[in-house]
Amino acid sequence: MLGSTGKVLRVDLTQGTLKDEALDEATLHKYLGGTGLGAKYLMEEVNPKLDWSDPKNILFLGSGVLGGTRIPGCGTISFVTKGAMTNGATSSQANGNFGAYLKWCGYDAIIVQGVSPTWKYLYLHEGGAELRDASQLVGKGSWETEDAIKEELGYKERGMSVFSIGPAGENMVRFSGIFGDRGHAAAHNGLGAVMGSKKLKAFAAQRAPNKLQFADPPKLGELAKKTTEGAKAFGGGGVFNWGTSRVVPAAEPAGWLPVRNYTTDVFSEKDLFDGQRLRSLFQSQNYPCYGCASHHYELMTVTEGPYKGFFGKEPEYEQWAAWGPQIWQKDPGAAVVLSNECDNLGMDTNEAGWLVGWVMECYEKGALKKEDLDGLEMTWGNVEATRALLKKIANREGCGDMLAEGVKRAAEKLGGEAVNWAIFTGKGNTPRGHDHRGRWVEMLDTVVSDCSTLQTQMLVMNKDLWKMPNPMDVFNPDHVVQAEANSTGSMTVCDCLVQCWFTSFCDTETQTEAINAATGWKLSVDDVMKVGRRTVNLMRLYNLKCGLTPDKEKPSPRYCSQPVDGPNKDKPIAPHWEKMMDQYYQLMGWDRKTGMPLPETLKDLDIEDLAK
Amino acid sequence: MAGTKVKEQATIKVSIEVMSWLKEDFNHDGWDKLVFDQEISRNSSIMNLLQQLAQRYPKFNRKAFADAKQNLLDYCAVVFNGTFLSSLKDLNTKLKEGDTVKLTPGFYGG
Repeated sequence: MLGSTGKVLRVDLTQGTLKDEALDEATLHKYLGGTGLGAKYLMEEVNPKLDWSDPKNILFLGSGVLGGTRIPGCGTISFVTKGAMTNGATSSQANGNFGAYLKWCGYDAIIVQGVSPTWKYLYLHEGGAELRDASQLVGKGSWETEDAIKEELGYKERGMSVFSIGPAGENMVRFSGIFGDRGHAAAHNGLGAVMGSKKLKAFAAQRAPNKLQFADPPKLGELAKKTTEGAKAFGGGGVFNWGTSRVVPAAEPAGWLPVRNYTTDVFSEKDLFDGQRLRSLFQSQNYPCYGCASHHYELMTVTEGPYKGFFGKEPEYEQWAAWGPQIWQKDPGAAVVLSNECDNLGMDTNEAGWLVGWVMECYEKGALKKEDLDGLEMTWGNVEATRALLKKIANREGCGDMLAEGVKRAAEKLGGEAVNWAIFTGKGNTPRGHDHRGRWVEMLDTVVSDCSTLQTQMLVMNKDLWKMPNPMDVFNPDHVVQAEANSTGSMTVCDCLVQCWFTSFCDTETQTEAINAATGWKLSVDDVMKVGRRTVNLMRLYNLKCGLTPDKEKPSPRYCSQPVDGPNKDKPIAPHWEKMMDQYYQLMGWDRKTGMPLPETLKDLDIEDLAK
Repeated sequence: MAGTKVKEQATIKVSIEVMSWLKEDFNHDGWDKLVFDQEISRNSSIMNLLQQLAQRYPKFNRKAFADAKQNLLDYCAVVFNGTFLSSLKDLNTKLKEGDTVKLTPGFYGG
């Protein structure tokens, strides 16, 4: 099959068996791969009544029909499972190389089921796959694991892609993720905990020769160049040139930066966190993903301050935000340390940031005392106490055991006023590291999301195509709802193709051309948009069966509170919420009471059979 | 002099601050602050100010105004006297002496 290996690897950890399964063209045509394909397997194979940690849960990881092509951003990988935070459908992506290497090793996707009696890792190579003993890797962080596997198997740095869980995943910390290729993360909804529950430590894929066949390679080459040029120009070129490293000073003036657990929107030290400053002040080197020419991803050595000499990855914006303003911490070098340690322990930075900020607020207000925190003084910005706390959480040690459940469950357990200080959603989806009180579309998207994270992109390449209000008032409730509903699935298309958004910017037209050049199909742009919406609705059907009903689609009181200062202090979302939800359901073609997609919605998306 | 009406100045000054990578479009290659005063005719609006800046900075002009399909506020968020302006019609607000305008790159995604 052009553009595909035509194979999925089925790994049964209970039996210790590996089996090739055929992937037919009709299925790929309908789902494109990645998140769409994973959602189909989840729906068909995992009983929604089961707990996420049940051995019968599957962990799917897959590339898409563009995986391994020269189109930038197509080394990304998508994971799908029943996740630990929501106990519902999950889709989370990591950039890097694994998606391309997976296909070069002969598979479009892997489905892992069962539980291994002892720790294992999966090794994919030219001509096959094998489960190997991982007992020597237990307790290691993701960078150490990557080094150890490459050394054991004799691969150089770029000769292999490794994604693994850290101690947090091993200990089934509810917000643990899967990390690889030097710090890329698939972090949402407790993927790491699912992997840990199966006693699977890592996936390792050789950079095997590319034997994939594509329908029109010259056209793909032309579209690769077009995609790069689009990425260079889009949004003023900020992401192409700087990744997300310059977002902190850009976000603060607009009230988009999470500061001190949403108790203020003012962070005067924002310019200290400017990536242009830090890439010259600290040592920095580009470490690009497969097929990408942007300067998004860098490795970094801290060169001054108390953490001088620390080496790791340059934090992404959300890590700068979590380990800087969110916990009221003002040393960028310390933020580099906390970002990398959180990754290496194997935890989602976003959830960890909300959690630590909440602990600090509780400590300040007396709801948590030193003796509740094993002697840690969790004052605002206390770096060493935060480092110690993260280790306790990853190992579920002492007070870390309760906190390992995430901020929603920890706050509900502590009770009292402290629940009102925690940032979470009713479903359990974790917001990314922004102050969404200034970004209403993203709050709505986060709260209703059925993949546990973004399923919409406001900033699509062609606003007319996705019927976005233009010009849009981002604080007009009608505009917000229309933008969210009309563009639902735009991000999911990227996640089905498993293409990094920073290269595609939801350029659905170019993506459609690329799909056709890779496969020889004749999909229309509308067909491709429909794949995104089909996948969103499929995960919604699954989540409803899991009990994630409309009453849970609410932001926590702090998450939707009115900012007390900053540029958005007079713009509360809460008074508009219920009306926005009514309108959103109507536009989505969903029943307002049950949340179910209406029969005509299911028919339009050709998933009536899966709704039964 | 008592009883004499002071003649109004024909122009006013407003303070502009440009943030992060948007500074590159104002010919500023550095992470340090970019703050300057801009003189503009009295009774001008914020939109008039942006258009005046566009004449002075061709790169800003190209990105902010050349693409009719693009919403100016997607590319460049405007914070006026400490308040985020979310609608194009807000840009019709008239300026007065001493107003502050912060321009920061628009972005979404998280």
